[in-house]
Amino acid sequence: MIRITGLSFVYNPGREDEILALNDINLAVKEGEFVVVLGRNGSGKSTLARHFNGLLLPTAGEVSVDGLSTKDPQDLWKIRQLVGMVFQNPDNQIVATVVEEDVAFGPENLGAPPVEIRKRVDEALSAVHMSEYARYEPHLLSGGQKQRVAIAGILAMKSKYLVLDEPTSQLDPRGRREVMETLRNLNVKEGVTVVHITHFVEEAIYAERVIVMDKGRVALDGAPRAALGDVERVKSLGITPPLMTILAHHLTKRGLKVPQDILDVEEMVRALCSLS
Amino acid sequence: MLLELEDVSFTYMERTPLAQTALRNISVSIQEGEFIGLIGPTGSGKSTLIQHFNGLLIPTQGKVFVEDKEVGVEIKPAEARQKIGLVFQFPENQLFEESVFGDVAFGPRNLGCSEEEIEVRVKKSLEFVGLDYDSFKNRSPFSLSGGEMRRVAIAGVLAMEPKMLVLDEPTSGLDSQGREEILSRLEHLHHTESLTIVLVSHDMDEVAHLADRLIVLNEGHILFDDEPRRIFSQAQKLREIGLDIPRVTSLFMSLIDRGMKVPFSLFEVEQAADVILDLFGEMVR
Repeated sequence: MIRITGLSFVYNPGREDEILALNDINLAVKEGEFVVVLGRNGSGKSTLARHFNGLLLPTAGEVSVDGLSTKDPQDLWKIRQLVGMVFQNPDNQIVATVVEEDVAFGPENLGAPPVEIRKRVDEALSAVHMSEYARYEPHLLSGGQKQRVAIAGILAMKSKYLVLDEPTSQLDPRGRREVMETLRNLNVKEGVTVVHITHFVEEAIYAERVIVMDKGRVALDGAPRAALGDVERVKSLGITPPLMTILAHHLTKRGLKVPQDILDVEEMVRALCSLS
Repeated sequence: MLLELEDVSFTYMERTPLAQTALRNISVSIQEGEFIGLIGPTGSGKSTLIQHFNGLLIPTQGKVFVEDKEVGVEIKPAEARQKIGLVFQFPENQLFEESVFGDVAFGPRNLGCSEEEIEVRVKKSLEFVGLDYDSFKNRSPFSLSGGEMRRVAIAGVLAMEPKMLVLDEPTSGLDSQGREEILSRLEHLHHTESLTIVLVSHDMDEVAHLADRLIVLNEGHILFDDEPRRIFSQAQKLREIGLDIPRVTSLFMSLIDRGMKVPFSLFEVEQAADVILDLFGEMVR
């Protein structure tokens, strides 16, 4: 479990441009959860993400991973092995010139024996469906494939928690779908805990829990339907609800009885077909 | 014709073992006043293509004409760059001056404009992107929000007074408000100034809403070049190459598959609501 208690974080403390980025956050992410974090630019999403593995340390409050506090310098490496991060730009995260060597980078640094490394790399690449690209040069891959290699690198470290900061923002529709399907697979089949930060509200469909950040606080926290179905509330937090949710809202306002918490096209088709 | 590409091909690192062909036999013309969406999967050649528009890249084969003058022969690349303004991905990374004014003034200053002319252009450009001149001119670009920084970067290109504005994924990484701000400014510029715009995007809803012509690039060649509603009727082909169709179109196609009488050429959520209510009207209380 990742437990966050009374977390506040201030950028540039004591200076004129001091900013309170996180304001008394209390949150727990349980093992096996798939959480999507939404929020407008500057709401504190990325700052929060960087606290999960101690890339940033709290100004006040505490973050602990499986009972280890990020405040304890001697536990930081252990925490960073438990909590892996994937960032926006796929090109900034790949260090090696061959895919499998890139995936091996983490376990090599952990000092795993060669036989173990081979096994981990093969398993990790298979889990993200990239085994056939093991000997490829990363620059020949598409953006979605590169992000899947970055995710494999974290799996090879045997991380339990995967924190992703807008991993799909630079991808084409197929790349986005690939990454989201991969995350769902890892969550369901491998039991990896996923915290996925995104601007694409539609990606909340993959989650069992949605957190909306606003002004450094948690403004909404619940199941996607409950959290996103309240169109006006979601809009007031700077988030455009899923297009089909907006359509459902329009239709209901004009007297047609469809569920208010429709999230995607498939659900809308089903709802309309059940009317006729 | 504002811009014309004649049988353009481009190979990176030509005549080396690493040679990679990025564009194949591209012929395309763009008229003044058009709003074009340029879509294609990652690696299809979109960024390479737009760098040919203003002489940043010179074709390995074929010719590029800006206002009927061949780039590199009848018109210098530098002059082409002034006429065809390019806004790269994450343009805010290229802001460097201490004030918003300084950043937007950089281009016209390099063109040799007088100080009075520079001020007029900076003022106009900031207004075009919806930023109030007096409250923004002295601010540090780095104190702005992501969406504001990006609009300053776009203003910097507008200050060169280009005939055409080409933007490479200008909304990538922005929240819905930032995205909305940028898109509504582009729409406004197109309508009030008849500025020719080429928008590179991965968001099918975005281009469906704004563009009156779509160019679909795949593996370095033009797959489709047509009106959006005709292109989005090719759902299967688009999905095959890694793209998608707008969500409302996708909804209506599913309804058509189930035998309902709806058109598929709709992109706006309000229009969709109208059609659905017509269809299910008798069920409304």
